[in-house]
This record gives sequence, C-alpha cells and structure tokens, in this order.
Amino acid sequence: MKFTVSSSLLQRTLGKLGGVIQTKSTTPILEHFLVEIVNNLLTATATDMAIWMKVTMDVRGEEDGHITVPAKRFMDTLRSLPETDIEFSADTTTNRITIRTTMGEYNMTGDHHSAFPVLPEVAAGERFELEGGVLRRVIQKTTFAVSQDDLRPAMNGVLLQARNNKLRAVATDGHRLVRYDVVTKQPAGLERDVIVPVKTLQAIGRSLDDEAATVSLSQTHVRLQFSSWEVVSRLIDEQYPNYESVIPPENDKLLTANREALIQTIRRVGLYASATTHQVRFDIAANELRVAAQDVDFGWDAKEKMPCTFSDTVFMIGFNSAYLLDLLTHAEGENVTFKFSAPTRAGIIVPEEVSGTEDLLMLVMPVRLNV
Amino acid sequence: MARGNIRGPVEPFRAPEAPELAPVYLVCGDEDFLIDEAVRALLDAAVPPDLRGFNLDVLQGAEADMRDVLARASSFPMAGDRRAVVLRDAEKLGAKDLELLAGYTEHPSPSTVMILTAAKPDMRRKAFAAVKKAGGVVECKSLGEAQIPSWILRRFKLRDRTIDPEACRLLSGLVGRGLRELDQEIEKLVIYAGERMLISPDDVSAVVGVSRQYNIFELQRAIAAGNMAKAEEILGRMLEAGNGAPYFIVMLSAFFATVWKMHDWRRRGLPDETIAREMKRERWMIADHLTALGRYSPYQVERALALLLTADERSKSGGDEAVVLQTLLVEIMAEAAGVS
Repeated sequence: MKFTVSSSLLQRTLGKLGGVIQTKSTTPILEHFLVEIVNNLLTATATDMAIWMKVTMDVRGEEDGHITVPAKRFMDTLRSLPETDIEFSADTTTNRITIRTTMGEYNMTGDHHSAFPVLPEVAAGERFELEGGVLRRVIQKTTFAVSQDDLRPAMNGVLLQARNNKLRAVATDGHRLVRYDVVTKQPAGLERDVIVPVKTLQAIGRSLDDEAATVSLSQTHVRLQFSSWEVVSRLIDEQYPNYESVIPPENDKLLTANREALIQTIRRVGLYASATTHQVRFDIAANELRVAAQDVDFGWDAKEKMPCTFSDTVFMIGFNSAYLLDLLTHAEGENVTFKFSAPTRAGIIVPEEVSGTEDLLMLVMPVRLNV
Repeated sequence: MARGNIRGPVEPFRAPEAPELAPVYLVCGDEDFLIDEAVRALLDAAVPPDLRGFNLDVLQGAEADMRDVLARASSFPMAGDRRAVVLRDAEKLGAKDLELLAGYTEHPSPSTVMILTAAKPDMRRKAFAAVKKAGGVVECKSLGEAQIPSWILRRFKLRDRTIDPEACRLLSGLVGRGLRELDQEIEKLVIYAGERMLISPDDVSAVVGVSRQYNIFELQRAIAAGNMAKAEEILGRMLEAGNGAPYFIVMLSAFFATVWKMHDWRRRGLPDETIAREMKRERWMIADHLTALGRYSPYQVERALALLLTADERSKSGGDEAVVLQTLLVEIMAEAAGVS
C-alpha cells in the first residue's frame, strides 16, 4: 500500500479522530488508526469500542491496501514535520510502515487490518437529515448539563426526541436541566427517543462546522454521516427520567436582568461564596437585584446590586453559583428572564432572544440558604 | 427522637415512614448484605423509584469530594419532596472531610436524607456521634450461627418458597454465615426448584455442592480433621478462584506454627481455655487448631512446617503451583494418617 499526501492536510484530517483514539488502552489495537487506500481515497478509522469515527480525504494513491497505524507516533511525526509532501508506504505482509519526506524516512510497525474492531452495522432503519448548524447548536446548548455520574447511565447522554419537524434535546444532571427545541427543515419523525452518549457528542463537536448531517438509527447504534466523515456510536440503552415532571408549570414571579452584567456580578460575588456550597443569594425587589455570598468559615462576604425588573414584590432564593454561571453563559441575548415560584422550587431561565426556530429552557435547582 | 432502629436477630430493617425519616443515617456493621438491605429500605421510604434519576446521588467515601457531597445534599429535590445522598464507606473519609460532615450534621438539610454506610465507623468522631445522638444509626452486624436458619427461612418466604429443616441445616453448613453468598444460593435453589414449593436436601446438594466458594479457613478445617477428599476439593476450587501458592503457604504455615505452639502449652498442662486466652482468642475460635492438635503430633507439625518450606521453594523455582500444593496436602495429611 502506498500514497502521497500533504503532511498538514493529513494532520488536520486525522486530528478529527483525536476525541476517540485511545492513548493508554488495555486493548493496544485501540491506540491505532485503521488506514485504508482505495484508488485515490484515504479512509482512516478510530474507535474506543463505543464510538467509531471515520474520516476520508483525497490523496495520490499508488497502491491500494489497509493497515493499522500507531496513532500517537504517527500524529507526533506529522505535527513535527514542516509543510511537506509525505509518502506513506506499508508492507501489509510484515506490517512495516515507512514515511518518507525530502528530509528522511521514519519507520514503525503497524498491525494487520483484521485486528482492528469491525464497524457495527447500522441497518437502514430510521433515518433523517439535519441541516447545517443544527447539530452544532444541539451540542453547544446541552452537553454541559449532562451528568458525569456513572451511576446514572441514562443521564450520561443527551436525550433526542424528533417529532415531525421538531427536534428536542434534553440534558440534566439532577441539579439543572436544559431543554432545547429546534425546528428542522426536513421532517425527522422518530418512533422512539434515543440517548446519545455525551462523549460521542463532544467528539463530534470538536470537529463539527456548520455541516449537514444524515442521522441513521438501529436498535443499538446511531450513525451520523457528514460530507467527508462519519461517526457510529452506541446508544445508551436506559430509560431517561421523566424530565417533563420536573418543569414547574406555574412560575409566576418573573425577574429580568442584563445577562452579561449578571454573569459578571455572580462571578465577582461568587468568589466569596462557601467553597462547600458555592452558594449565592438573590434578594429581589421590584427594581433591584442584590446578589450576596459569604463563607462563614473564613469570614469572607461580598454583595452587589444591579438593576432588574421583577413582577412581584420581594423574593429571596439561593443558587449554586457554578451551576448558574454555566447556564447563563450558555444562554444568549442581552437580557435573561428567571421564572420563580418558591425558594425551594426550581427556577427557570429563559433567554430573552432566541431565533424563531429555537426554544431554550433551562432549569436550575435552588440551594438551601444559610448553610 | 430516635428515628433509626436496631434490628432484631433476623428481622429486616424497616425504615420509618417518609415524614419520620431522619436527615442523616449511618448504616454500619460487618454484614454488607444487611447494610445494602437497610439502604434500600431507607431509599424506598425517601425517594420514589421514578424520581431517583433526579434525586439520588451515590458517592464513595474514598473518592468523593466532601464539598461536592454537601453541595448535593444542600440542593433541594428536583421533583418530589426529598433528595437522597448515599455516601458509601464513610469511614474512609479523611479528618478534614469528617469535620465538614460534622458541620452538616449539626444543620442538615430537611429536604435531604443523607445515608452514610461504614463497616467500622469510629463513633468517637463528631460526625458519627451526632448521627448516633439523633437516633440515625442502623446497626447491621453479622448474624450468629444460631440465627442463620431463621434468616434462611425468611429469605425463602420472601420468594414464596419454604425449605426443609434438614436442607436448611445443610445449606448453612455448606455456605457458611455470609448472607450475600447464602442469598445467591437461595436464588439459585428457587430457580432450580421451579414450580416446587419445598426445597429438599437433595436440591441443596445438587445446586450448592457444586457452586460454592471456599476459603482458607475451610481448608484448614479439612486438614485439621484429616478429610483428604474435602481438602483436595477445597484446594482445587480455591486455585480455580485465582488464589496463588504464596497465599496457601503463608496461611498454612501460620496455622501449623500456632498448632506447634499449642503443643508446647498443652505439654505444660494448660487447659484449652487458657490456651485460647494465650492466643487472645475465644475458645470457639480455636476449634480447628484444637482438632489439629489432636491429629498432628509435635513431630508431624514440625514435618508439616518443613514440607511447607519445601513447597515454597518449589513454587518459586517454577514448579506448577497446583502440583506443588496437591503434593503438599498429600504429604502433610498422609503423615498424620500414618500412610507412607
């Protein structure tokens, strides 16, 4: 097998596989790329056995073939080369790989292509198209709120519900919840809900521009195909908790404030919050929001006030500042509206400005005051 | 108000009704099966299963960041009335974390049930003492031998089955006092029996006899009793379970070294109770040693120790572990049986 290609182009293409490739695996073959040449098309695949990512690019192919390549050494070599053409050749009998440049040659040993795990079949079942930008927005708006707790496997992913022309993505960690709705141009009627692991979405997010995607589903896997790359991932086979039941229907106390100013206030005041609870307190009056924090162990405290509009008279509620900042920075628009019912019940955050095709609801649980 | 309770001999822990739940529980003891049972009962009372995705956090004491644990405990439930935070192996918390926990136990969140589990918590620690004072300690000590049959009966009753008293004795004799192992065998027996309501001794022999895990003490017991067939069976199973030669040699050397010392005490006319006291053990705890004392003469004990040394050298010189150990068993036990 033999091909020639620009080192920087190859590095950029293979770099997409970085989110999947294993660096210290108990299964050494997972530290390899599978590289295949057919005519002038190079296909490279990486997997951690839960996610398979495959990229393709045009090269000047001289001899077809396939071999696995130690990913770290190969990528380190590409990174350390200046922009130059490289000639990649491999003896698929001995698995010896040689990379030649005008400066010299670099040799390594790969493995037979049959040692590489086989890409799971995603039978042509349910399938829909997502126009450019939709998937990127889904990933941006939800993945930060996914639970990191392995004991809650259902919540280790993003729930996707596609009905007619509406795609809904939901993420929660039991302390905050994000529900993102987007209207899609193509109907995407799924008969069932699926949970896509957050690691898959993050790996996609690292390489995703505003490309359109074709989404195919089997019982156990999802395939996302883009113009020059594709991802196949296991789905999380769990029952997602009934998230609708935790969204309070009647939060009638509305607080509206400048989003960026509120973020800055919480960041400053939050520095003085207890390291245990990260608690900040909102004292809300008709036209003024006071944000305060204290750490009684160290005798630290801080308070700031900022203008706001509030639909009720006075109200007091506590939040974990880290959760609040996460949500506010992932919201958009100049102003943000909080909807409250009681200091012990979930607060809802609704960005004031979302496009006509989107709807974003964020929910954050308050914390007990004075702990 | 004491809202935790102390379990009776074989009665399962019953959690209080939700409004009576304490904000912090310490479920502790050396029987982890009962600990799991008590934690389950508390969770059932605190958080309905369909809300656990949102309102249940389970963390490990050795790995958890106590600030994170307390932040979770201070958060209101996302749905329903209560959040539950389970912190396992709380005795592995460091001093600083225990201090933070003590602070929380003074002002716990009323909408959270925190459940700590620990095998041997140091009850002098402020955090644990505060839970005890509030009545939130649930003790889960291992059951005595006499309590095991009624526990077995109860487990079968839970599965709408019953067991013949002889089968019950056989089951406890074969499996021992480990409740988790017993429960697994009971599960297998229920599946094996199918529609039959009564579990017989034959069922136990068929199911349990071939599947149980053995330990070194049972091997010592078989050697002490001169039961060659049993000793070989136990050795084979333990080797299959992954135990290596060094483990057997160290444990059996310690066993015979103790028997050798006991011969000296016996020669000086000390009664068994005094020997047990010398060994800082209860009389019943040295039963196997006393059996070996009767079976193996001082010369045979010295010979067993020499054989163990030889086996150690053989195993370290590349000898097949199974062969070395099987030979060792035969040599030690044949000596005592007078077989040459």
